[in-house]
Amino acid sequence: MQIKRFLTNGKVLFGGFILLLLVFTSIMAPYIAPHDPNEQDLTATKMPPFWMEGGASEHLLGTDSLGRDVLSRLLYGSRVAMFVAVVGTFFAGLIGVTLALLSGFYRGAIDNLISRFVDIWISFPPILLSIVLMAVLGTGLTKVALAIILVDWTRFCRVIRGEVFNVREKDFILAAKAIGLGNLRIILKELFPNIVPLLTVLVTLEMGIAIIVEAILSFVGLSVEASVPAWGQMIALGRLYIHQAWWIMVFPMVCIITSVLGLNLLGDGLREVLDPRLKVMGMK
Amino acid sequence: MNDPLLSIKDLRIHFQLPQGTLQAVDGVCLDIDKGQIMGLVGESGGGKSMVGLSVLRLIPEGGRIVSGEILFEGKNLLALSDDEMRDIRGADISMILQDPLTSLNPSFRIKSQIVDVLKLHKGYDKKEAEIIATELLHNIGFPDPEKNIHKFPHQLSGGMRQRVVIAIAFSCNPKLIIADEPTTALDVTIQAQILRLLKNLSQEYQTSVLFVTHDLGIVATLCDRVAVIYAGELVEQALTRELFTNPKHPYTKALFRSIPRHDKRQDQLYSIEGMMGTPIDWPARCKFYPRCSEKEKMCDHADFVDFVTYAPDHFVRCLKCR
Repeated sequence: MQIKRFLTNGKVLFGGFILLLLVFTSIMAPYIAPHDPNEQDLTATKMPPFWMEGGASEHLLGTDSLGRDVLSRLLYGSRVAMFVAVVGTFFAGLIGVTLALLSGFYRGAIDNLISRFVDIWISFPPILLSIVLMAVLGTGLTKVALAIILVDWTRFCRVIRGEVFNVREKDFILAAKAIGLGNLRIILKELFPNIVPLLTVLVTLEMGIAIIVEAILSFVGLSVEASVPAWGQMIALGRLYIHQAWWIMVFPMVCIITSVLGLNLLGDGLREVLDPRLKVMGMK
Repeated sequence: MNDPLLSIKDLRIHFQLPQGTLQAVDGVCLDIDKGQIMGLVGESGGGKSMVGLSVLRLIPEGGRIVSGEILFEGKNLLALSDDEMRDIRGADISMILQDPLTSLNPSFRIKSQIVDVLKLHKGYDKKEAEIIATELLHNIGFPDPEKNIHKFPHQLSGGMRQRVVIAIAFSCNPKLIIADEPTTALDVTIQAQILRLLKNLSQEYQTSVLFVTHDLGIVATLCDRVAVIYAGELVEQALTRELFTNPKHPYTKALFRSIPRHDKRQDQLYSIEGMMGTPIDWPARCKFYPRCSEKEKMCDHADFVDFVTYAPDHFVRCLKCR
């Protein structure tokens, strides 16, 4: 019954498929990539995709200005994107949700402290903040993830806090107090399960945002080391040859757009399936 | 005579609002004996729920108990630490809330919600607690507990849900149950079943009940004693029969008059004139005075009206009953 609702929602199906595909390529990249992503072949630079004149099935999506295989680089690039999306979102969520639960449950001084801190944090433009952070932290995969955590936890905190305020006013919280449950148990067992639907949606949206932020950072050369292929980096390089070899730039763009679109649709679809109000509307 | 199980003494609960001090509960005294069902009647906003919540020390944020004592088996609940209070909640004193729709956690099966209380206060392991939970549901006439115990709250009807709430409330054999309008959200036939159930359980387990309601009909069928509250102040208290046959306070009388009757033709239903209003910074005098239809000259200048014993076991807060 429940599972059927998930499987009949087109957005969930499409988004879920994209997410699974990303997970698959990022894990399997070394096995499915036809070439080493850094292998240069200066005799075959800027080779077009196989269906165009001059293309070859050896390089399905062509090569870049250094003769590296675009498809292989895209597959390896999904590793960076997924690592950042998963790790960044998980820890950003952990910090944001923890603070939101404390803030929303205890309110008063604790809420004031946390909320004002979030306000100040949010007032920095996120892209600028992450660029500054990367400049300070230096390049590297874990550092990109860290920058994304530091930028994005506030979004979790804001949104979840609102929901906690909503849930904690419900009678079952009062009832939980009346049967003698302690605060920690009420937060974990009564409050938290009731924000999970919202959190699920938020996580998928946040993964999309993390992928974009990473792409921006690697575009300006502040993300992973130059030896690690990343989509943003590929776009930056392809931009130089846009008139002679459009595929170097367009394919990574397609990857970014498809991933983010897929994750957003997944989030949207999950909301439709999980939100009780929308459920009632769908039954009419 | 034995000491009462619960004894509320001069309870005052104030809320600090920008407009002034809201005297939600203003000097309430109430005794409940073992096994007794006490009705607390009044209109919305009169402070009756607040009295109930204060016994469990769960009054909403912003409210402060400024004075008074709540003695439960001789212990002052207001002086206990938070941990000691938590041990009492659910085990010795439990609560039934008004709306069974919202007082069960929508994310969990009802089984785990009953089992949780048993595990917490009685130290049963999961298996034992499950068996006891099923038995409990059997006893309160919950249909097919073996199957339905695995359901989520939204899969049950209102009456069934309220039975679950009652099962949770009675699960640890509490000595006192605070029932805050437990039947208001149910339809009338289910109401009757739930009330009968409460009465039977109370007799069977010798559990006292503080029954908060605005429905005098319920009080008549269920309660041993009644206290009438108006604007945070008790105005009359007596045994149910005495209060119903011989109401003394003008407010109580007016309440009785506002019950629609089928045996007498009425063109217009009676209602008490005016509104209660919010007791913010009200002067210390008869609170019902502005709406009273029986006020006399002496009422105009009296600045404090005490609770007087009108008859043995019948207390009234009205100058005319002195």
